[in-house]
Amino acid sequence: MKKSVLLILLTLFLALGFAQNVQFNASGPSEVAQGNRFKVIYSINKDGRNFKGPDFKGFRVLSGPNSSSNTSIEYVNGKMSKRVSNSYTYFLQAKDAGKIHVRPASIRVDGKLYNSNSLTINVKKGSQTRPQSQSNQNKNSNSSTQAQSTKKGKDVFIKGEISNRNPYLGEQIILTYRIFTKVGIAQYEPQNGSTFPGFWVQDLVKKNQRAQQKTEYINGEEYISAELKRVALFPMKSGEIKIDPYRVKVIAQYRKKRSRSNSNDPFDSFFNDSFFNMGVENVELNVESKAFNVKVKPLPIKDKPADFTGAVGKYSLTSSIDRQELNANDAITLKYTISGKGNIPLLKLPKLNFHSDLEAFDPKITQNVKRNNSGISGKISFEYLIIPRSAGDFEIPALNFSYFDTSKKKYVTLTADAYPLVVKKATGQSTGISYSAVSQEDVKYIGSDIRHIRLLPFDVDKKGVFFFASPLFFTLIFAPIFLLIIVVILIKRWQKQHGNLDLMRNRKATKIARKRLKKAQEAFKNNNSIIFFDEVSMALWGYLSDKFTIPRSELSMETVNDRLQEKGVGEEPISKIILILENCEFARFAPSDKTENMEQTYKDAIAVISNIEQGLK
Amino acid sequence: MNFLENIAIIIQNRMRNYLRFSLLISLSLIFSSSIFANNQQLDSAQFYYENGNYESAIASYNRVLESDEISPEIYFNLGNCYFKMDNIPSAILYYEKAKKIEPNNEDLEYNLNVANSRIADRIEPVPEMLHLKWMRSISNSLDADSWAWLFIGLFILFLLFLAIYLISRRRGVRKFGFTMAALFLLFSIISFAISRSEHNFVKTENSAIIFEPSVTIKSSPNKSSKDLFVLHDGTKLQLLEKVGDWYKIRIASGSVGWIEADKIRVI
Repeated sequence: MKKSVLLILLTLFLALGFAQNVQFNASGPSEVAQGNRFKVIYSINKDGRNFKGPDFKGFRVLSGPNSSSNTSIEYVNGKMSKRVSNSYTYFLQAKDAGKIHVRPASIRVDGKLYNSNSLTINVKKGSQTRPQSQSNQNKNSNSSTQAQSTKKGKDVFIKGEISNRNPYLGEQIILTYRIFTKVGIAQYEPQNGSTFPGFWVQDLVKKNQRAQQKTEYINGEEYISAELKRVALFPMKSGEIKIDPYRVKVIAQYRKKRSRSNSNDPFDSFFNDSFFNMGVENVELNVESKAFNVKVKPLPIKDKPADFTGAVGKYSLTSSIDRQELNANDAITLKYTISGKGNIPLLKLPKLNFHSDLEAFDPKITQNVKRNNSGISGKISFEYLIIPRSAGDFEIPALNFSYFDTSKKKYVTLTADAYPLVVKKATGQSTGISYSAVSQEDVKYIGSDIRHIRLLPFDVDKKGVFFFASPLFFTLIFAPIFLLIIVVILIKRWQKQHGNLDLMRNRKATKIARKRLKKAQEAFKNNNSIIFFDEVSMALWGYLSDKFTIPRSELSMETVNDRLQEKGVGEEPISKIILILENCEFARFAPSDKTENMEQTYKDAIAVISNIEQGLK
Repeated sequence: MNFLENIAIIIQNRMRNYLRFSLLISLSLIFSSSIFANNQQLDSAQFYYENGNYESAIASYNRVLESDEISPEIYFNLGNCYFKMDNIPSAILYYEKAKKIEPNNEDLEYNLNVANSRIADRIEPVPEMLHLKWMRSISNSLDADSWAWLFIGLFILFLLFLAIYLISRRRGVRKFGFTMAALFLLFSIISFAISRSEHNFVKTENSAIIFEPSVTIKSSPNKSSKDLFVLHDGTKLQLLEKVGDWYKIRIASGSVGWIEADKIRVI
């Protein structure tokens, strides 16, 4: 029965809520400490009547319901919209420990009954907000901050949170420091925390950004919390890295006690709350968080790509080129963009090896880094300006970019495709660049390596076999010597047999001629003209035959003439010798007064022989 | 019985002869097949090298070397394999072995320079006397056997001119023959001397490569003797003499010391 009524009520409430947008909510802490004061607020966005609060069993109602209303009217584009918010506030003090159910409140709007949601408040035992003695101490608070900071450590403290205590080298982790306070804070000043040794740091909170305040309940106590610092840390070395405590100097505002502070009136302590307190006292506190130990894992060596440059995170790679067909000396823009989450500003592209005819300038690097609560993300782009310096077909090689994926715990290689380029000849002067008649370039050496192996075929010899001092070697030395000896001996023998006769005759020709001439001289003395001419003619013929190797059978005026000319004897001696020979023939067959003639012929013969000998030398 | 024994003996003899014959044939077959096998090994080694499988290439080349066959090309290629595997001392060892047989190869010189630039020790060589340098560059321009062939050629030319001198009857020809013969005799004596020294150089073990990462050179062949200097792997040493397990060595800078034999490998 009860259930069905509730169900009907709920559906009714929902239906009406949708129809008229009536929202009636209860809000309060989910946890309070025993004896603590707190607020429960019922708010509604319509005007209602007959507000009926719950009985708050287990709590002491300090005041309430205190109603407040707020009406705002807006004109937007000539339309009027009215906004009403009414609230009913109870100030309660937790009395009993345990989970206490607060029943819904009810209100009537336009004759219909609405119920709020119910609340469950967990009242924790024991922890008193502030012992009386402490409030006494507040009076002379400025005297010793150190002592107070320990005592008041519960009023103000800093809590650090780290997203991952066991990251990989280069993996992004988020470190957050929050301040929790129960008292007002006039001012705070961080003492350290700008550097983190061993990490590359990126602040995630923009400067001058106001920290958002939140109300949080810790162990049933209400704290105002605010974020002091949020950084992204990238470990730069592996192993254990200690993060020092974060120290902040805080000026806390404690209320000043009034004279009647010792009264037991509950309202007194309520109105002494800093809300209502007019006088505050500034207390300087040093607050620090706990230290952290971060254990940084090194990146796995296994499967590490050769082109890995230290990128860790999660990335994607895109590439673009503005054109692939162009004239020489025109520029191309080639752009690689890496986007993702991780150490973006530290990213490096692997070195691109352009063809040496493509002049590439250092890339223009643009970063677009977003910092938000979950860390650093964004993109980085590398823009190359490339100018082909000669015509031809080129290729911009494929680019491999490798990173370590922290979620998959393995290396990932992204590839940007290769771009073929078709470069036409520069169109003369239109490029505005003039070259000297022939443009020559030095050969560019791109790398160096050892020379390639010697390719087959090549000869393989038996080990230790040398030509030097081998049998063949000695054979080749001694065989020619023997050959030489044999050949020389043979030739000498042959010369003796054949060549020597002629040679001898040649050498002896003059001698024989002289002998004959001597005989002729004797005949001349005896005045025997016939013998004389005979001897002279014989001497000359014999001489010619021996000296010029003319067989006797062939001796005649013509052959002598030919032969002498052949041997290079001058015209004069030839004609002379022929004249003498003719004279001799004539004298032999027609003897007359010969004395002068004989003497002349004899002298002529001697002269002509010596003449010929002279000429032959 | 006797008869049967006789038959058995005859059969045995025949068998023995047959066996001897077949052994001969198989030996000759093995010999020819070993040449064939070597060619195959060289072929596959080249294939392995070109595909980056350097260890297999080394194994194949070593199999050829084990069969007592040798060539500077094999040493050169082995040096390349070791270089590619980043084993620089072995690479230098094999390059030096190749250089010993074939002292004047441009590729070899280049690769040896590249390998030597990767070792730890940089030793400034003592500047050589100019005439020694010339002589060395002349003798290194050909290997020992080429010098021997050159000697044979020059010697035959000498004999030829000698023959001309002896046979000819003309005075001018004889004069010419004599001068040329004397000239060629001089040349052939020089080439013979070079060939002989090169031959001795190739045959003797006169240098070595250090194979220990770091070696202390001692002042005498004794472990407790004074340390002179420290050398690293890949450095070439000239071996001067051997005493027990120690070598007296000289390095390119001229420094002399003693090293244990197990820390080096002889070229």
